[in-house]
This record gives sequence, structure tokens and C-alpha cells, in this order.
Amino acid sequence: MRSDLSRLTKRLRLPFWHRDDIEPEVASHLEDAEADLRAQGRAEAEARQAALEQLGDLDSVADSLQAIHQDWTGGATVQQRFLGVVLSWGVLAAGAALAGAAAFLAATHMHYAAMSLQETWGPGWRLGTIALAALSALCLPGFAAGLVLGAGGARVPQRRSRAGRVAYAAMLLGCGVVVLLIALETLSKKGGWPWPWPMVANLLGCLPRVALLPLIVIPSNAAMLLLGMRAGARVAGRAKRVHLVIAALLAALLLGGAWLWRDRVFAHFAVRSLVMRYAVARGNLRCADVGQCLTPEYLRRELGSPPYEPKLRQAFKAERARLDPGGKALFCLHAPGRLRRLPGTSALRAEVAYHYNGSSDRLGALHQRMWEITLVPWGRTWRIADMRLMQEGIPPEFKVAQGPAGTLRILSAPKQ
Amino acid sequence: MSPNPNIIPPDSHIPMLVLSLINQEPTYGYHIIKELEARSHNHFRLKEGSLYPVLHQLEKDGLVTTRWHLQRGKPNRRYYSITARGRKALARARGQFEAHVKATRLVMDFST
Repeated sequence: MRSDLSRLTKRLRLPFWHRDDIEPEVASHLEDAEADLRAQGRAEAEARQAALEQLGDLDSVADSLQAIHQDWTGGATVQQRFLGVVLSWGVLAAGAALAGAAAFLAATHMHYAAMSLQETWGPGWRLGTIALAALSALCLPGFAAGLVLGAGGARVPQRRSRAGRVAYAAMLLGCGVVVLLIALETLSKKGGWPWPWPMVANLLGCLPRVALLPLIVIPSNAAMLLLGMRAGARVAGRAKRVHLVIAALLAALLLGGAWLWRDRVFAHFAVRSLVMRYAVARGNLRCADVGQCLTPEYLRRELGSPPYEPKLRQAFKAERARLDPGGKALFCLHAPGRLRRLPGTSALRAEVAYHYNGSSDRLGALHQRMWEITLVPWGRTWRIADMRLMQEGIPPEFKVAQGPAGTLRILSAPKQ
Repeated sequence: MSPNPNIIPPDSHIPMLVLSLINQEPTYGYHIIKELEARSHNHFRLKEGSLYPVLHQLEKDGLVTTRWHLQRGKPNRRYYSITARGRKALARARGQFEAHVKATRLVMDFST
């Protein structure tokens, strides 16, 4: 009986919420008929066969029901079921999108904070990877939602093809923006970008990138939504419970991605920032690259066994309390006593040994010199108001001139 | 919304009969078939599968509404109830049917 019912269901090329409204009803009917026949003294197998025969040709029943349902949004129970599915998927999709967006914003914020603190010149190229991963993650819920909606759209072929065209156009646009960003990033990394560095930095820096976000997110997610609708329309009625398989896959992807992403964000921003500050605070300026501070050997030597994050926080807090008892400075100083308050202002002047091995940055060498930084209050934190390369720290191959307010203008720098 | 007079075609008795049974009490497919057979003294013996397209069409036209009755250990049963629109359509169909029967009878009485 079950195989006959699945034959009926397979023949119904309808969204699952329609099929689910038909199959139990027919199953219930067969159950009643069989019970009646058995009450009349028929054997179980015979009663089952007779119940099926009384029902008639299943294919023609399926075709009749198909004809009724294919241009129908469904009755009350179908709509309730559909609403339930859409709501549950909607909540899932919205939750995942919100989590993705929140994580992305948090990562961006952390990165921006890290930039303000340490990477005063160059934009963090890692943000590109993170941003693209975040955007891809945001596309998944869009695709999932589209998949569910698309199964509903299967009933109206012209709607499906229109959605497909829009999906491709939006997808092309979204991909175009992403490819452009990657190309710009690659060009800049190779030093092949003809414009001056600050312009590229401004274009691809953290804040402009955030401003570009809607350009990528909106078409990409709209495209994924519509693409999902198209896929949903195609699979509706073909594969039994395919939505469950896809849902499980998406859930696994989202959960796995979120877990990996959390780890990466932490590694790239939180730990990196903390290790950097910790290393500077400890006067350990010999790390050729911040990344080297993240090696297991370094962490083991400095901090013992994991977990490192609370230990780093604790160590950094203690170090900062020692160097900056007032708790005002953002930078750990190369040496105690170099932090001073500017007379008559709320600004702080700090001398910082800033170590940044921006290998892609032709001015990277300058970052490894001593900087004099002026910090001014900014909400509950501080921001850099002025950053001056200390004259004695400038290598001879750089030509500089005095800029306004005691800053240095770099006239030329050696090519890499 | 006024009922479409052609929702139940005058020459199609089955939807009207089904709607008439549902009008008496909320009921389900198998029970409708048995009632049709019993009340018509087995005159209306449907291929059982043909009932469901009728019921779904009635629901699609807004003449009946459905709810699921959960059954433990057995497939859930779907109960059909008539709507206000269904009652109006039934009254109209009944009127048309009676007029049709009356007219037919007049013709047949006249011809015999």
C-alpha cells in the first residue's frame, strides 16, 4: 500500500506541502476501506488489495488532483503548512543572516579598531577574505529561503523563468563587484596599481569596503534568493524530501562555517591584536611578522598551555596597568615613561615602536620605526589625532619633508 | 463575494450531492462515499478515488474548508466543512437542479 501511495505522490508534480495534503488523506481512506473490508471477514492482504481496487486507477486520481492543485495556492491547511514552512525557514534564514551580519560587523569593528591601534596606514588585506567569506555565508540563507519559495513557484512556469533571468542578471552584477574588488586587491598587493597608495587604501580600506557592502550583499543575496527559487522550482515534486536533505546540508554548512569563521576571526583579529600588543608590551619587537607571534611555539613559550585568549587578556591587562596606571593609553609603550599628557589638553603623546611588516606595502619599512603618536579622547576610547615618524627613525632611502602640525610628508620611497 | 453560479454546473450532480452531505455535518472522504451509497441505495457508487478531485475542487472554489483530525497510530483524517459561500452555492445549485428536474418532468410527462 505504501508503494502505491508513493507512486501517487511521485506522479504529483507539486510542492511538498500540496503533496503532504493529499497523501495522508488517501492513506486514511485506504485504511478505512481496509478496516471495513476486514470487518466483513476478508483477510488482511485481500482486504488491502480490494481497498486499492475500490480506490481506482491511482494515476488518473493523481492526474486529476494535479490538475486542480497546479494553479492553486492551496486550501487552508495547505496555506497553514506553507506558512509554517516559510516562517520556520524564514526564522532560520533571518537568524543565520543576522548572525552572519553581526559577526561580519563585529569582525569589521575589531579590524577597524586594530587598524586604529596598530595598522595605521595599510588596510588589512585579510579583511578581504573575511568579507568575502561573510558575504558568501550571507548568501546561503538567501539561497535556502529561495529554495523553499521556489518550490511554490514551480506551479507557475513563467514566474520561474522570469525569476531565473533576474537571478542570472543579479548574480552577474554581484559577481562583477566581487571580481572587481579581488582584482583591485591583487593589483594593489603586487604594486601594480597606478594610483598612489593612499587612494587605493581609501578605496579598499575598511570603511569604504563597508560602504561597498550593499553593492555586493544586495545583488548577491537577491541573486541567491532567486537562484534558490529556480532550484526549488526544479526539484519540487522530483525528489522526495529533498528539502530536508538540502536543509541538513545548509545547516551543516552554516554551523561549520560559523564555527570556522569564529575561530578565524578570533585568530586574525582578537588574538592577533592581543598578541601584538602583548609582544610590544614585553618589548619583544623581534617578531618579523605579527603572524609569527601566533605560532604555537611563541604562544607556548609566552603563555604555557591553552586556552591563550584569557591568559593574553590577563597578561595584557597586567602589562598595561604597569605601563599605564591611569588606563588611558591604547598603545603599549616601548619603554615606560614615554607617555605624557600634552599640557593644557586632554590629548596624550606617546612614543611607539610600531612594528608592522606590511610586505605588500612599499612603505612598510617605515612602520618598523619609532612613531610619535598623539591620542585624543574619542568616546570611551582614544583615537590617533596625529602620527609623526620620529626623524631619527627614517631610513636614508626615504625622502621626507616636514608637513603641517609637525607631521612628515613622504616625498619618495624606495620601490620594492 | 457572490458565488459564481457556474461553480457547481447544473448538470453535474456529484459535487452538489457531496456538498449537500458536507452541509449536514463536517465529514471525511470515506464517510461521504459510504453515505452516498447508503442514501442512494447504491445508486451512486463512485470509483472512490474520483471523490477526492471533487472534494479538492470544492475546496479550491472556496465552498468547503478542511481541518485535520489527528489519529494516533493511523493516518490523519481530513474533515470537510461547508463555508458560507458553499451554502449559497448549494442553495443555488439545488434551485437550479429542482428547476431542471421540474422542467425535465414537464417535458417527459408531456411527451408520454
